Amino acid sequence: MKPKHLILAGAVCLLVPSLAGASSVKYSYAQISTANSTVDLIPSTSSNSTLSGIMCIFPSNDGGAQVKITVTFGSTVSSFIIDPTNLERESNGAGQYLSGWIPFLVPGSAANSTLHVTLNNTGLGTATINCWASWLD
Amino acid sequence: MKSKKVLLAALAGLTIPAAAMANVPQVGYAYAQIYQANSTVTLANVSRTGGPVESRLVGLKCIFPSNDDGALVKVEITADAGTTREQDLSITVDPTFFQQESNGAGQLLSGWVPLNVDFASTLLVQLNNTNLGTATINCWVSYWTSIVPE
Repeated sequence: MKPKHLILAGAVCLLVPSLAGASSVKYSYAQISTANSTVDLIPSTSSNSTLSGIMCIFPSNDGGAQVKITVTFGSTVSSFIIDPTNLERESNGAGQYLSGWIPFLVPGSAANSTLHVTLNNTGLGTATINCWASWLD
Repeated sequence: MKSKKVLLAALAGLTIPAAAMANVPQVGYAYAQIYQANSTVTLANVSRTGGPVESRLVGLKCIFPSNDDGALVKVEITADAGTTREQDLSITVDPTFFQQESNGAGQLLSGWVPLNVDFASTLLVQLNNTNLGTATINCWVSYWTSIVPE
């Protein structure tokens, strides 16, 4: 192979990963139940990850406990608190509080960095709260 | 310049921006309650600076009480106020035929309504019930913003 061809092949190898974007659908679950703790909902990803949505379910005896969601793309952090107080409730079963799927649908064009999502309940009360996330990697 | 060097320079020009590009999205979730007659409350007031911004109001959800008695809520959306891109949008949410909790309070549920309104710098979402009846109505929105590398 001529040197020119080798250079071209190498460049293609460099380019393809950056152009490829997210390629697989992921679904994660985490439960937080210990006071003043943090758990991973989406462990740190390698790159090119996007966030599609988050859902949390709070117990019927929640007692005012909330959960803080922290989303980190690369080194940029954003966070918000889900308060179940005025959410809808299960019609059967335990009467849990349901956030439904909160859509974020961050497209690949707006996110081409690593992704890390955590649950934290420091100072927010304690209950057994279950959360899920769907994302692309 | 020899052809090999030209080729290398061209390829470097292609690969370096791709490697250096790192969009930095932030996601947001906001809540507001409206219950006073003929009033306006702010549900989300978002601005992001630090470069060209690509952003989107993704979804809206409202929950109406079972004793809503015909009250509606108007959701007023202003994107990029004061710029040439300004958009003033509004939707009126009527719970009449919504699904209803079967236990508990029997609240009327919109579910998450996909909106997908793009904005570049600022977003203001307000709830208004002027002449739309009065009930305690809870609403949420979700959105993201991202700085686009120049």
